[in-house]
Amino acid sequence: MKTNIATGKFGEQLAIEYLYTKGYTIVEKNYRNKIGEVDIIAYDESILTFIEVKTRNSYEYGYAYESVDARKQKKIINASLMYLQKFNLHDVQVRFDVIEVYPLEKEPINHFENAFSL
Amino acid sequence: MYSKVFTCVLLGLDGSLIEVECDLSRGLPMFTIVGLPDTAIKESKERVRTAIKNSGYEFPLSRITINLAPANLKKDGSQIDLAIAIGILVACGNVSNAKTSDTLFIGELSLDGNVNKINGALPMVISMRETGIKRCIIPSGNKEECSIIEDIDIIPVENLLELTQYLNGEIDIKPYKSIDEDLIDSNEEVEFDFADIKGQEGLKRAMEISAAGSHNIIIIGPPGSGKTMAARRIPGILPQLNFEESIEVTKLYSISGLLENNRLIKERPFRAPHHSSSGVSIIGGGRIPRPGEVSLAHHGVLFFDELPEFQKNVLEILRQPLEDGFVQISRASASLIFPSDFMFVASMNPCPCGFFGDPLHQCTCTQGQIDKYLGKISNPLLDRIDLHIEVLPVKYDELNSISTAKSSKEIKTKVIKARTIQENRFRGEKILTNSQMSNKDIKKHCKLDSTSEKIMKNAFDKYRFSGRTFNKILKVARTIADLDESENINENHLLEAIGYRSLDKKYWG
Repeated sequence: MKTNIATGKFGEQLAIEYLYTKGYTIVEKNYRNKIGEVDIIAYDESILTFIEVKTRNSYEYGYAYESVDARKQKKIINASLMYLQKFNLHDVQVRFDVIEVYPLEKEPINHFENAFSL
Repeated sequence: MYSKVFTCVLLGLDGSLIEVECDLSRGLPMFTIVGLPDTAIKESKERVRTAIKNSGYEFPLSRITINLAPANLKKDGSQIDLAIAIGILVACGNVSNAKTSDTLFIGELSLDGNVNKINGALPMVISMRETGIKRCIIPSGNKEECSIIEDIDIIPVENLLELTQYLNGEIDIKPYKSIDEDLIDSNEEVEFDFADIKGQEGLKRAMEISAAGSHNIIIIGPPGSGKTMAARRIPGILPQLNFEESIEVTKLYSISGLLENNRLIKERPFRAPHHSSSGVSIIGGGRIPRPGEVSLAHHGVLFFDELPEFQKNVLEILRQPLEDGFVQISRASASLIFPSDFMFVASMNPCPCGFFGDPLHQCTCTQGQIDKYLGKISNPLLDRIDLHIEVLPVKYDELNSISTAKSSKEIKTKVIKARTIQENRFRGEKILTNSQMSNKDIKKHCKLDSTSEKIMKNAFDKYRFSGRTFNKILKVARTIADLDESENINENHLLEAIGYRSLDKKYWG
């Protein structure tokens, strides 16, 4: 049996492959700063997208996106604000996405564009 | 990425033009509304977002700032939804701004993009007449009430998509004009007819006078003598509202959300609040002041059944509106004036058991009880009521007689004739009926001959009238003379008028 960390890593791998096929330009993977962490930072054409990836092997403990709750959203938003500041990206369009991954299902990827905002 | 559209908020009966500025800029997606919005407007964010999405447009992914100017005025009401949605759609280029510069947008959005009916559409549109606005986009649920306005194009819309297509010139919506037969006197049968009341000729006569001059009236009598029955029949003998009055009344009902089937009100309102009503419900009020019963009875009848059963403070607050014809309501948020020019009709028993002065029944009240009961009606209030009339129980012969009494229709004809005389007399002045005459008007129109003068002097000495009572008597005498189609007030008219003011001495003297 895989550990949860391994499951997560595998899910992120699938998500990145999926984003490549959609034509996204990946900027950062597992970006970390002192406030929090963003799984994937990518450009969808001109829109800078911060993506949270959640992986689950089964539906038994609820849907994956449900675990991106208000607290987690806040963390992602704050971390991304800091990212924007660090690279002086004051004039870009920004979006927050969530990608669910269910590796054992037929269609493993479920992409929520603009899943939350400020 | 900037746009400006217009909407309107109401302050009492006056609408003020609001600029909705919308700016889209890049950055973290946010949606903020500034410019003192209240809760209903803050919540409009969610309605606007969903309505735009469900109308087939994409909600722009950018930092959205809405400013409601003038920024120092507190704004409330969900009618701003539509302007915000259009502002956003114009700013992101989905809608052309060719028509938005002289257009007013009012309407509440629902999640599926439908434009819902709002309260107060008529007063909003009316107050836009002098602001340079050429057309008003309104919810189609409000089109009937607004269609009477001539100088502004009324464009009713069902939903947001229809509106965007209209603004983009893809479809054309014709300005709505009412195809109503408009203000033609409807000769419908009245629901309650004076012909149903047997006997009680004195009461009917007093009602006729009261209706003819829009005089306040109080009816005192034992239970079952027909007080309430007669009062309910007053609307049936009153003339219809004229156009200006009709608009005033409709405005008040519109902001109160009481407009049935959203048409112009043509019948005079008849309000009969229960005696448990609170002061605020009668006079108007609330955090954002709303009109009360006195204003809803504007140009109509306010009927208080069982007058002494009302709370004392409720009765006393009637003094000012009875005298002035308007109420000024001051709250922290605003100080507003609502019109309240109504005809006051009250009925009461002479004592708690009801039979004091009744020739057929024994009154069981003590003198103290009677004094306390009558004492609830203060002299200042009584002073403001023009006609006092006492009714006695109906006799068997009268009740059983087959002869039909005068019908409401006949009385109405007389009343209308008297009102026409008054209208001609006051042409060019702001008043319509004798009851509204000022001291100057009284001097001009209520001249007494020498015999009448003598009668008046005697009565004044005997009954010790107040100055106000004196004027009220002259006004009533003028109305009686008008009903008589007589140019001058003669002694009979005056004597009858004095007769209606001698009752308070019997009970309250």
